[in-house]
Amino acid sequence: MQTVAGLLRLYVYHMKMGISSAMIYRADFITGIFVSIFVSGIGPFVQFLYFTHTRGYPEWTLNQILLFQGLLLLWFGLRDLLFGQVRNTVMDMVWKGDFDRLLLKPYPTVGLLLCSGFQLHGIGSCIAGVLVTVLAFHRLDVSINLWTVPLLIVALICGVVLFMAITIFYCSIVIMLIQISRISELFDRITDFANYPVNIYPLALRVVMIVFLPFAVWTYYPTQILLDRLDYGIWFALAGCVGVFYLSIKVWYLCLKMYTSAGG
Amino acid sequence: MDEIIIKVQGLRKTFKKLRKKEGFLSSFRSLLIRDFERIHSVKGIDMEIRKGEIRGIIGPNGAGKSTTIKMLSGILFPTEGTVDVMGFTPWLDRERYVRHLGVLFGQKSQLWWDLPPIDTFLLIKEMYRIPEEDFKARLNRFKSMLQIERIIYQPVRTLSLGERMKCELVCAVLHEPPLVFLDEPTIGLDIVSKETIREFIKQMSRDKQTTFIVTTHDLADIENLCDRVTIINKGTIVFDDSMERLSSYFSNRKVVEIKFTQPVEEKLLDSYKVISSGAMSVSIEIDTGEFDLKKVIFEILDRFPVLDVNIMNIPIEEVIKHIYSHEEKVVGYGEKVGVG
Amino acid sequence: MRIFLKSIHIALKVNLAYPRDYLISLVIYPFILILNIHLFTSIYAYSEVSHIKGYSLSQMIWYYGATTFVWIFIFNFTDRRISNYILTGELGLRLLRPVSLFQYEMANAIALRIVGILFEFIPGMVIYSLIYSPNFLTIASLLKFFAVVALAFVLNYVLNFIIGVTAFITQNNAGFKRLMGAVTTLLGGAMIPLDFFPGWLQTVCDYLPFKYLFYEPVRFFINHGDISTAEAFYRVIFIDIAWIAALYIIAKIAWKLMLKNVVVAGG
Repeated sequence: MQTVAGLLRLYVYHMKMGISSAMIYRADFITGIFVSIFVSGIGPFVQFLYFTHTRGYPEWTLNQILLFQGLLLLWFGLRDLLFGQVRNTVMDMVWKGDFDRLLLKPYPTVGLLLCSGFQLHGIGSCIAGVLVTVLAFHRLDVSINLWTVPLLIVALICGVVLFMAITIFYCSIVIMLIQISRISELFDRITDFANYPVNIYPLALRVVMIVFLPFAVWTYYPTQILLDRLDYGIWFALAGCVGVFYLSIKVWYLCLKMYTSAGG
Repeated sequence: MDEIIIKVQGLRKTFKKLRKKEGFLSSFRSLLIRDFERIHSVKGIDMEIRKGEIRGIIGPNGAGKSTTIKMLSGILFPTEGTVDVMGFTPWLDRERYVRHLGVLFGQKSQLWWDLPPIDTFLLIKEMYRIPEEDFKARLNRFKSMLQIERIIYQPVRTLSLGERMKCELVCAVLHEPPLVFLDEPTIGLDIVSKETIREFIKQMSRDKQTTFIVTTHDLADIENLCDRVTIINKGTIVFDDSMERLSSYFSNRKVVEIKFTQPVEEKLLDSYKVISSGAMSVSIEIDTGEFDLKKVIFEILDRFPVLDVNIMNIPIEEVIKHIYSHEEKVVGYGEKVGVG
Repeated sequence: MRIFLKSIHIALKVNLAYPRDYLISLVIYPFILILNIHLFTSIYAYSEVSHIKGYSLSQMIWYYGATTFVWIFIFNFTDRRISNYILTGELGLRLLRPVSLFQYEMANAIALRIVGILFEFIPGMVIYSLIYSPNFLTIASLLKFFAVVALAFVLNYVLNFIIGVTAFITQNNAGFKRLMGAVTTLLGGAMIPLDFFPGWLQTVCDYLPFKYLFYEPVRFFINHGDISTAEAFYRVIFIDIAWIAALYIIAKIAWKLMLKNVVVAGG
């Protein structure tokens, strides 16, 4: 517990340093944010085009998918804000052969990696997400009841835990097994499945996305909560997140054991 | 002073290394079939280091130096052997052990590039939970010792290499660890910065009884800094003794440097073992076990137009070159033992 | 020409040293295709139509696969490499070579693409076909695709060359680069077929070169009904060449301007 508290404080300190760093290149940062908002807007725009030219996906209206896209962008933003820097840190470490340094710090290695994750640039996506979500709220009649907010918070926490797990898998593979930068592309293509409502997938894939790799907690379930059409699947998804996280930690320590006995 | 802080016994490390072949087809093949070879990087090391000591570890590239350091710092599991550092087994108690350890890699930086060093120091304060007052007191002391009062508030990217290295050094000792590993702490620095850094290390060792282990390729570091030297070659310790012992390693051999007032014909010097010669000077090596030094010198003074004579020990570079290139093992305290 | 071929040869050797970096694509591709299969099967089934905007289901699914293939044919780092030369001052060294930077970088880009075709396109094509049969493909359409995509490669190279050279104005602005990338892929038709755009935006795209990078090559790949005539094929080829010629002139002018500004100023 003391370790977790220490890591949290380190995270906050890294966050401060990240912000100071970004402020040094203020002009670049601000143009970056505007570009981010614009680029993030492409996703909803493409969805809008599909929906206006076809009947769209079963069970989803244009406004509902707008809400989904808004929450998706918001999630992208949060995800990058919290842990967006991890990939850069890892690749940097691999190029410089600097991983050993982490082993010399008095904290769990994987905790230190996650602590370095804060990336202020994620704010661009967040802003775009908020804009689209507000627009969707405006066009939809979203009913918020007593359970909505706590459920959303739980889903968010589990979503963050799941993303931490995915990041840990990424670190394990890149640092310990194969030093290929394109591994991140592979991870992106797999998590891309979360960019569409799970009900468009066949049953087997749906089960995977709700139970085993519960990407559904990131956007699908939060949208369903707001649209008041939640199903039991969410409980599997929440449990799944914790399970995947546990597994990722196991894998990390297994890789670490291999690394420290082979010597990089 | 005699308290032993590190005790190493029978340390061995064997790697499995992928055999790589040249060419396009074989790189395809290596995706499927992997050939391994065993590399004995460290072949049985025994060593003791006392508290407060500054120990130099040198050896040619690939001698097993850094593998040894990695095992001592807990990064690497050994194949065999035991290490006891302050009661810890580094690789088993890593997270708790490294709290008492400071490390500096001269070739790598832990400072944040865009921010002033003070931010990195504060991060370290957070990481090692250094109390506010201690942090302030230490930082003030280090600032004046290393003359970095001003630069720690300037972005790292604007600092010179020497200034950066001084700040790296502060990072390594800010939590006042009883044991510090320094890997090439003076690499690429100018003479003045080198001197400041060496003085700082000596002072820490005197004041706080901090133990330093220094690996370097710069012999001046060894000569000006270290109490004892361990030379590792081909995975074993080939020399482990005090600096004085190393500099008088060839105590029965002297180098005589002679300057002449006018050019001397080379042929006349044929009876001596000439190491190097110039137009008006020559260096001769004399084995004092074979010849009487006094006699030889008198003879030279007699025969040649001598301006100046200088008698020296064999230079330390020569000693180390000799030790690196010979399979001879010089264990313990001066006694020579042949190997194999 | 001999120097040019030699440069390609050397660059090939360099790029072949790390086949793993290319082979990772073979793991990535199936995920892209599987996602699109489910996405469009769902949309087509729900809309109860066989064609949307003239695309059959299998053509639509392959549209995105084909986009990745087009990437393999046209992708290069020329913009980044040239802007690096300019910003680091390495340019002076490069100018001393007996071959012009335009040709040298072109050789490099070609070599990079040869490796890409060998390690990514060919195996990727096999994998895709096994997962979802490309029933629209004919030998003629494939040959036409190769011709159009080869020109798309040159077009993209010249465009990248211009972007690289303009680094002396834009400096090292990551935001600008990202914006350019996004605009190229969106207006080039790599995100969604241009047919879905509103009319005015399609007209805008008609007057920009980007659609000849992705949209047109992809349509030849999936053998879209609109371009099955010989006339349509020659029309695309003609416009491609016209764009390349125009941009080549712009590239030369930009290059001269840059040399005046950078080299004379001392880099």
